[in-house]
Amino acid sequence: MASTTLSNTLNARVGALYRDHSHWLFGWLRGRLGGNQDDAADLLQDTYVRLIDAGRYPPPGEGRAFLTQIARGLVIDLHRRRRLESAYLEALAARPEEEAPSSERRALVLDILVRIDQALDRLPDKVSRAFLLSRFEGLTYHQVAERLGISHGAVRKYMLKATQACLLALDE
Amino acid sequence: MSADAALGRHAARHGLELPRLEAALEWQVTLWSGEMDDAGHRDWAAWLAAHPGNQRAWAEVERLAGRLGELPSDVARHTLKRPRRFSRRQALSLFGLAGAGALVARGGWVERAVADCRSGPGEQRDLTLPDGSSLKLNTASAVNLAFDGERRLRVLPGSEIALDSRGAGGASLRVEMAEMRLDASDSHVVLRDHGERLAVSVLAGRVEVLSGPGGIASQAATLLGGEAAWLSADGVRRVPLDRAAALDWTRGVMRADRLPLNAFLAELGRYRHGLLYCDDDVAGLVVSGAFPVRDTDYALQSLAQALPVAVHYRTPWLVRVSAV
Repeated sequence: MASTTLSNTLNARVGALYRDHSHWLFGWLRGRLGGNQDDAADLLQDTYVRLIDAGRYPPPGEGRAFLTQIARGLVIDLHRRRRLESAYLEALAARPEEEAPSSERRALVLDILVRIDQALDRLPDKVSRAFLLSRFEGLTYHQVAERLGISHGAVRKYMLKATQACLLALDE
Repeated sequence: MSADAALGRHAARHGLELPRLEAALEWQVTLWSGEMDDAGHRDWAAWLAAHPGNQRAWAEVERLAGRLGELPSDVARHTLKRPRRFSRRQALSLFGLAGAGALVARGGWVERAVADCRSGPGEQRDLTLPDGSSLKLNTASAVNLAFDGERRLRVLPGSEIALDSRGAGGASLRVEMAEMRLDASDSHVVLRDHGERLAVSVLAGRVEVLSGPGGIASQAATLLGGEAAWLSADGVRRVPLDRAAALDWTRGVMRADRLPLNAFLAELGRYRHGLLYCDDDVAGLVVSGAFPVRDTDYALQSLAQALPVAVHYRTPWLVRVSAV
């Protein structure tokens, strides 16, 4: 019984946050998405879903700041996903048609790309470049060291750092 | 630190022992070197055989590495590009002499080229200072350091930095910027030199304005965590701190909040080599949105989708925005 009461309280709070701020937040999102209403509507929905998932609610009076913070992260993620998606489609266009992956496969690859891009973004530039050179250009560590003008030991250190970050990012 | 904590959590969640998971990552990195000999392979096999916990840790690393392996190399190469770097020599030869002159004339460029810590256009740097403070450099920024006994840091013209000296000891940390001197010990602060004036955002701790020209001298001020201010010869003008906005660049984002197009391009242009400009008849169009600073070409592309403008690349270094 206690848990029912609790979730009713939470629902009431989400409801109040929706009633008080959704209209304003929609305008805010539209402004940040170049006026695109559909994207703004999607992210508005996602913002409240995130709020419910997180299970943490803002103290009274801070609802707007709290929602804006979630929404801002979603805008950045959307830009990242769009950029990667269009680059992915470009890469696919360069291939023969019979090699075209299924839509499930494309969604899987895009999901991995987003996670890796996000992880690499948080790393120093040389660390992420060492990782890309090793994993996707097929260079040995000696070749990576030469390309980046750093020591072999540094390449190993960077690889450890990037490998840890990227592999953790791929966990469900 | 936080990365290690994440690894610890990962180990706990999957019922693995942290030291074994760390060892498994080390082995993965060794295997990926492309330089492992037979003896190395035997050592790896011996490590695997030594304990069932090693095998479990290895299986987890293999599972995650397998997901990475789902990415075709050509796709990863094409999509995960990091910001392109140009050497100064390349940039200079493309600009020709006039370009080099303009850069020097803009102030501080030669000085910047020989500074202790610097970042070129489009680069960002993450540094740890000798006292353990963290220093982030935004694009086209430079800092000189003096850390012999005293702690002094000179920020060169046009730079933007984030300095977090919390926990690095209490002695004074002198920051010199333009003609101003600040004490930023035990604080987290974002500083940007806009030329005529400096923007100071204090995220934590406190910053003392010690001295400066004109109005500053008469109102030496203390800025507390949560405060921001413009400093100029006219004195200290306090403004509300937008914490997220002050740190946006450290997350690779440039946020525009109803910015006229010409101001927006000037800001975005900090992250690129060369010249980015627009025609007068579109200069007043209003831009809002979040844009990735690591991919300014993409930012320009989304600009052209949102506004009635076209982007013309004469060369990657000379970009004009006009009406459609």
